[in-house]
Amino acid sequence: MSDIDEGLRSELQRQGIWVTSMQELYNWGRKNSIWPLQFGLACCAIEMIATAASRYDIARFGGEVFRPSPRQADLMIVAGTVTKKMAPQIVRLYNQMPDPKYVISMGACAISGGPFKQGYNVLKGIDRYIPVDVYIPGCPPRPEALLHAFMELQRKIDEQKLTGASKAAHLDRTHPSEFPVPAFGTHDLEPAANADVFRPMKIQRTQ
Amino acid sequence: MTTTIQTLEPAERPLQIMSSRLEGELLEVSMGPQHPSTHGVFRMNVALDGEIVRKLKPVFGYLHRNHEKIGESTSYLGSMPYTDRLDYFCSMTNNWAYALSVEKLADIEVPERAEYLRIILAELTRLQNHASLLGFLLSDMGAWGTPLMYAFREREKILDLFESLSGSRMMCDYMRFGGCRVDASADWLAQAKKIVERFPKFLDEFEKLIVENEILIARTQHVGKLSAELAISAGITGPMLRACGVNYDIRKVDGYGIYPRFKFRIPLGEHGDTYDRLMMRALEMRESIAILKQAFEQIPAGPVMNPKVKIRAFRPPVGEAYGRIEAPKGELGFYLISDGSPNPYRYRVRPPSFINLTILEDLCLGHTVADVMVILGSVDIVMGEVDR
Amino acid sequence: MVGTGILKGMAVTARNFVGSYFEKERLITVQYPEERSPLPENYRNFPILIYDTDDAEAGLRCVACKICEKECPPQCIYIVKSEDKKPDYMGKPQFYPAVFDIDISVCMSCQICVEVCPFEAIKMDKVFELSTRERFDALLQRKDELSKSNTYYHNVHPIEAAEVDAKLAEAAAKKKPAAPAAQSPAVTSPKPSPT
Repeated sequence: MSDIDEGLRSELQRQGIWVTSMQELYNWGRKNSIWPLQFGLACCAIEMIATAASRYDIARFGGEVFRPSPRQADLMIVAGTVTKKMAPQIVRLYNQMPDPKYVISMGACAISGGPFKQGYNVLKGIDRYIPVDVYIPGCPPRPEALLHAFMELQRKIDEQKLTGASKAAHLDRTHPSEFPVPAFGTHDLEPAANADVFRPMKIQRTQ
Repeated sequence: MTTTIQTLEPAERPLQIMSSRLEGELLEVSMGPQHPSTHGVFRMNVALDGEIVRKLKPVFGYLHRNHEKIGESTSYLGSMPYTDRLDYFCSMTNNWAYALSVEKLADIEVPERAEYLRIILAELTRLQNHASLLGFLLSDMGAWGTPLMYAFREREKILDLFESLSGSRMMCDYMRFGGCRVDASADWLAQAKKIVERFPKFLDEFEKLIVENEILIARTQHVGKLSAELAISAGITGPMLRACGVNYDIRKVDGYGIYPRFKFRIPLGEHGDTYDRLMMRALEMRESIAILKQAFEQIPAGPVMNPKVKIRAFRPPVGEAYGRIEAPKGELGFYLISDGSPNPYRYRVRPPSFINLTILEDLCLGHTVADVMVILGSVDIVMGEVDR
Repeated sequence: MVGTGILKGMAVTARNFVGSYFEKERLITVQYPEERSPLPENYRNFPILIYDTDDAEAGLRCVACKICEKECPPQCIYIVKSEDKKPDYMGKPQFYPAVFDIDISVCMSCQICVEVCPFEAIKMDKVFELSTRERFDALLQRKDELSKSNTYYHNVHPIEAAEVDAKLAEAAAKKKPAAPAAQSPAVTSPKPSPT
């Protein structure tokens, strides 16, 4: 599992011997068969379908198997506006997905509420309740942008460690794999954000 | 065990199924909001007797994004990009309907070339909407992939046109009150003409793929029949109404824009079932191509924007206006009340797919649960417009 | 006969399958990222600020008039006007934006800021590969990230940029008939690239 000397590896490869580590093999297998959840919310979902269709063909990245059931999915593409009525269902779907699981927040609405952020019924970003791995800005992002995010996610999976202090979240028993589902309160969802997941930045102004 | 069957609608199914039915309770199934064929986040609470639908309650609001409320707090210009996101398949027709209402409100004239461009873009929108609808409907029926891929292949060509004209594939934000934002170059028109001329080839192929298919016929004919009386009294518009044989098309009735100058026919259905609704789209695409061909021939040179219109800080006079157009899904209207301020006092959308959805229960009763998806697909809804 | 309709459909599928090997019209997959479909001239994604000359601070066309901030439908622009004035690239003292932030996690790419800007200062960029693992810092674009040179603008929108330059040169000529030629923007800005 330790790192292999790069020079030795290429030397062996020239002789016809292919050396890999358990970690590389494991991550290679996982990153090339990411099955997304077939789940669209709004406008971005149409671009997600266009990405899966013949022009852009997400199958080239091993992600064409859109699963209608969360139990078989590895990746949730939150594509579209998340309303407060829909947010509990999304968190529940996320909880139902087996580990390891990833989330791509596609489009302005899923990141921050986007153009509809003024609305009383719009959740200001799905990362208030579930951890998001990759964000794609755009309204809606082009299919190429989704593919770019998909490759970014593949890079992230490739970087994950099997052991050690910085090992992947799904191998860490202390790391939660399910998150509390928000409930409808009198005015808003309760809680309004999950403090374990949502850590907003404080804007520092120099001027 | 209690049976509540007696209080419900009489069965419309063949007798042999009814007689072999086991007595039992109704099973309530919640379909959606996460369901592969609910076209977004739509939910139906279906009460099932075996496989037969006895009750159906649609649940909306999973995509309620406060469109109308935001429209009342944004300027007239600022609402234009929001209309793109109503029916996100057809941003061009949404733009047009909104622009038409504001033009009515403030009495603005539109240059000739802009009118032609609007018609070209609206009909292109109709082509891509109907093509992708057919793809989605067939994928709901289990023809996963193939028809949808073919439809999206053609749709991408039209989206390329939209992108090179307006700058965005889906959210075009192209029209303005008093015209269009940018002019179409001669190259663009030539390219559009080429794509439109090739479109019938795709339609022929697509019809060969689906029209005679026995499975499709078995799944759609006599399924979800809608009578003309019910359709009229429920306010159904668009291809769904015309599939029942009612000749009502706002392009002909109102003659908005410059539609009266074009020669085209209105295809009408006979039975009002799912098959007719499906074929209605295929036939309408052929008529759209006829309109487009005429428009490419007639389009004059000239400005595309009325120079008198002030886009920024636009304040229409006090009054109200309702502008409506024949969107691909039916009558799309915007009702605006102005109190003379930069924001509309009231901003109301009449969404075609929401009103077409109101009779879903009538269509589905007595059919099997598998038919519900097909019927819902043939209604052609987009949740962005239903919930707004 | 039952089944002929299905067979006819199958023939269409077979024709598409075989055709996809040699017919260009059926072979439409763009092999992104190795191959990219060219973005049209009009394509827009997120706003950028244009500066003339080589100095991003001094040459910034924006004078912090805040029209775009007011007109932006989703309210994603945040501007703080400077207290003092400093000479712009023409040598005229102008206000400048002390802070100019665009939250691209909110921006809906509607181009209204470009339309309402009277100074041709804000334009649309074509970059779309912006996926990040970090939401807040990466998606809030500050003034220094937004500032792009006129050369860059010429590269992304050659036709539009040439028109804008001609318009600005005309306005400058009208205002200052005796202005030295070296300060007119038409000279300092480069020729549109042939791409």
